[in-house]
Amino acid sequence: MAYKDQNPILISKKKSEGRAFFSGNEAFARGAYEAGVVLASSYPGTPASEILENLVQYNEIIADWATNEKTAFEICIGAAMAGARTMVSMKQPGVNIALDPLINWSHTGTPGGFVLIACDDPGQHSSQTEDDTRMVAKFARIPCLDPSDSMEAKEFVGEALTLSEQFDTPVIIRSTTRVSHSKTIVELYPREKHPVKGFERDPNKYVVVPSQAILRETEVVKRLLAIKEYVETSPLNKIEMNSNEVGVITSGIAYYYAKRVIPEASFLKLGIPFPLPERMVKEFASKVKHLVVIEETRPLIEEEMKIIGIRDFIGMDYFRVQGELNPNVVREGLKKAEIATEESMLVIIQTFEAPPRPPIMCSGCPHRGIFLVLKKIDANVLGDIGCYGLGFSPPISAMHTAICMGASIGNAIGMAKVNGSDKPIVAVIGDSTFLHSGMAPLLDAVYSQANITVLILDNRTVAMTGGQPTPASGSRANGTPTEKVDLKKLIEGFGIKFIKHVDPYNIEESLVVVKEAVVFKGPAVVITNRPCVLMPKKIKGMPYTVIEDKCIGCEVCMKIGCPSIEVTDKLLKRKGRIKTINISTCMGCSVCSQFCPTEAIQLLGD
Amino acid sequence: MKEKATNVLVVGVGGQGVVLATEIISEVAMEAGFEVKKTEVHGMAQRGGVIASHTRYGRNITSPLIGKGEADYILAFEAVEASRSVEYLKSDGTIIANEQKIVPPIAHFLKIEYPDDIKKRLENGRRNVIFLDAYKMSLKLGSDLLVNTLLLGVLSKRVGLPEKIWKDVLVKRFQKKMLDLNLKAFDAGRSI
Repeated sequence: MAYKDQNPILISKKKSEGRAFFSGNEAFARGAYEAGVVLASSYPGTPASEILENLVQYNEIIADWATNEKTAFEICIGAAMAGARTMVSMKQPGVNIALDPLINWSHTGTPGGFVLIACDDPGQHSSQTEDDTRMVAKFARIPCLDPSDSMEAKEFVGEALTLSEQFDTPVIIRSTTRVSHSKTIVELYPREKHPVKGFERDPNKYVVVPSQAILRETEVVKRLLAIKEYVETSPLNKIEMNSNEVGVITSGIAYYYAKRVIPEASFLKLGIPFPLPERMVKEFASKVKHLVVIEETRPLIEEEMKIIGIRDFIGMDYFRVQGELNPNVVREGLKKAEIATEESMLVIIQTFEAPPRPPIMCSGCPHRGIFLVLKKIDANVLGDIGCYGLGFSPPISAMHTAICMGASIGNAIGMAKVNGSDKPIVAVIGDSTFLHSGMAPLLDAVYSQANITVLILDNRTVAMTGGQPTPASGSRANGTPTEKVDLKKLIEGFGIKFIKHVDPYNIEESLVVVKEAVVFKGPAVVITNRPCVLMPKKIKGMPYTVIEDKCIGCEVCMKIGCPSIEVTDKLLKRKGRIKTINISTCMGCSVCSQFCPTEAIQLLGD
Repeated sequence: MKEKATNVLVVGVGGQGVVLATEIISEVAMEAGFEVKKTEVHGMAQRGGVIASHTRYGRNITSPLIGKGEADYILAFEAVEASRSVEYLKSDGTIIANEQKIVPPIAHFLKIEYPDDIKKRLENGRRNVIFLDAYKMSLKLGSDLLVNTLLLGVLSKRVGLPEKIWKDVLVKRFQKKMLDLNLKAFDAGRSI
């Protein structure tokens, strides 16, 4: 089902520049290019990172990473204040961080087209929550678009910017993992010209002191009413009348799951699920015998329908209230509702038991050594968001909390202040997360002289999301060199009196320094100095190997959780099996050799 | 218009080249004139986790995700991942599975044995299973980096997309240095 077939009016005037097989995220970037976006900003986060990564290829767009989502949002506000078309992108939890500017920017309105791409992650493939940004749009009282595939992802950027300028409002495009990370065919069009208009002073509109902001409140209410009228006739909301038996109201990727399972039904596809086109929904509901609402992740359409008095429909209770939708879930839900589907007799083979394969720290990961040290001193480790989150999982099991970006240090202060731990309190935070939202809490630690240790795991990159640069990396999103922040100097300026660097590959040294830090009175900071071994480039050293005669099968090396250490079939006389090291994957970090009690692990060739 | 689709699910361990494989399948299908959709999950899966990439091609393709019981072909890069993915197989679908074992480190810690009867369990007396040691075959051809193309060769013989298009896409995808070996591996796969 091509976007062109669905929306002939929208794109008939455009001249094709060929076709491409794009992920949703590549399409959002291309959409920004075509729609004349001048500036874009973002902070890395799966499933949104590739949007900005793809924007840097378009020379017409100024695209950079920001230190966090709030800053990214505010940079884009600045550009839009000057009348430039702008796009800010982030994963859904990032929207929570940017909520303050988002709500106020809704109040002031925007002179330049402003679109926020928020990528939700139903099923929590790589997120701490599975919230629904359509709900945020309702809270902010701004429109939300919900594309179903890459062509829509691309075209909706332009639609959102036009809507933004027409109604003086920021606009949200809500994506999901399956839209952002699925590839579908798109038609490419040339770039539209939207020159920067320049900043025009209007302090009554753009200064949110209460006396002015209360006047804007009236405008927000009026604006939402006008948008409600607009969505009734927007070509993005479409009725496809087929059978009168079943009518499906849906938005986003759920549209295609429904199409897959019940193609003969009638559809009301909401390209703009918020605000709900009230008259359109009522008309559609009156034409079909069984009304079904299929949406992902929260019941937004469902609740809005109940508000306008439509209650007789099959909704989320029949499908899924948690986790990702897919054709199977839709099929089962319809079956429960006694609605006939395609291939209702599908035979599903029972999967037999297989060992689990959870993600683990990579071979040579510089985080491993430091967690093993923290385990040795039995510290209460308050963690943060990043690859080092894997320090929580067995066999390492040395991280005990992780709440949200930048939480570790504040959490540590609170716990220390109430004398709530008889063990050392250590906050563990990556370099990028520290710069994102760890600096303010570290100032609090100085201000309140908290007895905590903060470990900054400086691997010079945002590793978990694919190796994007940070302000401490020395390069910008497009790879050009730039100033780099010196973490030690920065922290010295805060008034921290204990700052030491350690090599996390050197267990003995790290142990000595961490022990010093935990007994230090007042906040102490330890910074690790090894870069990520995989990103932005692979760093492979000479591998290690197991001297079979010396291996006693004690399992100590297995407890460090390195994927390069494997168990052989060779049985030892005493008990256990000889271990081996996969030399093609071993990065040569030497950590296992420092733990082996019999010196059975040696550098290859020594 | 009704959907008419061929569903190919490719599974393996992060880092094995699963995503590249579905890129190639998708490109071949597109070149052959079909509509294509493909999906997989990035992020955590890179850290040695499971990776499953879905490709659907044909006419009027709707969902990019293959549902359970819907895959015409499963291409498994690793033995245990073949068994994990079997619930996606159509009752008359075909599994092409690499015998290569990549034991998850956690299995030893949890004292879970890596199963040794995967082939038998996959076949279950009646299913279409092609079980081969693509890793060993790849080494024999001169590199351990050919597993991917070799398995694509096996698949190509069965899905019915034209051989010439497959080869044209491989020529575009691989650098000169590795191209000859990859074409050899592809042919070796096709002969199975």
